Amino acid sequence: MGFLHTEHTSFADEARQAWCDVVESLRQWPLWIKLGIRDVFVQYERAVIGPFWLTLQAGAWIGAIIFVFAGVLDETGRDYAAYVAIGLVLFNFITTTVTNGSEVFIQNRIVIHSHPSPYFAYVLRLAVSALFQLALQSIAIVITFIIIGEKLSPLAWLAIPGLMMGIVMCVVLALTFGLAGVRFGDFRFAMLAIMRLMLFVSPIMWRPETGGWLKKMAANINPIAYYIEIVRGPMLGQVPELWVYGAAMAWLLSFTLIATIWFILARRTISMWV
Amino acid sequence: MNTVIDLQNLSIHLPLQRARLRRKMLAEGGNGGRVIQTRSGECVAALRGIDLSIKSGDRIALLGRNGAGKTTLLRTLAGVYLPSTGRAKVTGNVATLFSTTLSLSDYETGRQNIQVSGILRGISQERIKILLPEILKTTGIGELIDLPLSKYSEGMKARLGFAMAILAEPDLLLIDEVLNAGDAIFLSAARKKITSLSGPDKSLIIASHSEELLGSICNKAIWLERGELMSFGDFKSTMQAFKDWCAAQA
Repeated sequence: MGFLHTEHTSFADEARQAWCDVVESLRQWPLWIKLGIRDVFVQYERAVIGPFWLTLQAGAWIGAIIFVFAGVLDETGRDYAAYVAIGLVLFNFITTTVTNGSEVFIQNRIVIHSHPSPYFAYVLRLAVSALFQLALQSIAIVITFIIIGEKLSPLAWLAIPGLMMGIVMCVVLALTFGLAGVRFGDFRFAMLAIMRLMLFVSPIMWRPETGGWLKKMAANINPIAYYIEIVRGPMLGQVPELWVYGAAMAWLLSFTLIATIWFILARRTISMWV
Repeated sequence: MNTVIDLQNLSIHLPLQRARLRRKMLAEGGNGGRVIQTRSGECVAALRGIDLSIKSGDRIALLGRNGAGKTTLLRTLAGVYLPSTGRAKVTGNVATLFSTTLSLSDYETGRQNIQVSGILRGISQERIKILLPEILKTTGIGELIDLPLSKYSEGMKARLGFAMAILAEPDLLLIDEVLNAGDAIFLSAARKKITSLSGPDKSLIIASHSEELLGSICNKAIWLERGELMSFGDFKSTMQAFKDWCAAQA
């Protein structure tokens, strides 16, 4: 009901308003859950099988990677199929969040320019959309497990905290990259190119332990590797070492700090930049 | 009557995203705001030093050439743009009609779009259900409401957008151009609806290049030129001053 807006004040004042933005966004949970799921359906509105194309796409990619790389990498065990299936679906989730995240505010510019609403809600809407896509793609993992006769490890429940950490990281990344995408017109295209490259430098088709030092290093400096490992490892019966969780947490805290400060500083000008 | 809008020394500086392109455009005699240097880089001063106080009950036309700052002012009054300098105070419930495509999906029906738009405007699903018959009456779309939006003309989308904008029964309704897409029957219905919405505690600000439309709705006018407030007063004299000025510029 009305407002009083003044020019930029202090950092503390901006921080308070950013906090209100986050709280108000969380309060609007029915909005972003409904719209996030709707976004996926709208994308596939004209397709007969609708968003199940995501399941088919994931299945096709999993099949193709196993077909092409199993022989090349001397991976003959059936667990390689499970390794690829889980890794690829998780990677797709991260890619969706990162690439769509970098244009989350730009894609919503008509709504942003039409009436004020909390910005963080757009990020949450994107996260719901990406999670829904993850759920649909996960059907391909189930089908892969059935085909190869693999069963979930009793340790699989340990994947849940890993997944939760991954989801929070994706929300933080979407916010950070969304702000970057608003400010820098080239950013989203750069992210698109980088994420295509990351498919090959992340341990999805290959295992860090079976390669040379280069592969190990690629896995160690790559944050995506940690977030995949803390979910995939338990599902395949291998509990990741504690330092892997520590590294994932360190990346999460670092990006949360960046996202928080940037959101506080940039929030009031988002509508002017989009 | 209460003061519904109070602007004090309001300036809005929009960042230059494609600096070279904008500079070229402005150097070639564009109508937009002036390019200025701020601490955060080069900006367009879309509004400069606006002091304005508007009482409730007024129906105000927003006049000005393309790039004069009409849309920027409307977005600021909606709470979308925050002041670069000065302050903006708006009292009451504000609704906007800036785009006929707000959140609209071409593949969803008019009814589904109303529901989503209502959610985006903070209106509960229950309230939308109650208001739906009134929306159908206002839009005049009838049974087409259950067809996908891709089958709608721009005019029909404008009808739907208008009906959705007034869903929230606002104290201040802000409209930017979009009514121009409607046909004569709809414009007549929209005028009636706007008039019925007006009252001592309701206000309207509308930007349009249609003098006929503005003249039939508004009692006052604001004239902007390159981000500056040229005049604010009764509709006829402000419109005449604006027309005289345009003729002198031509």
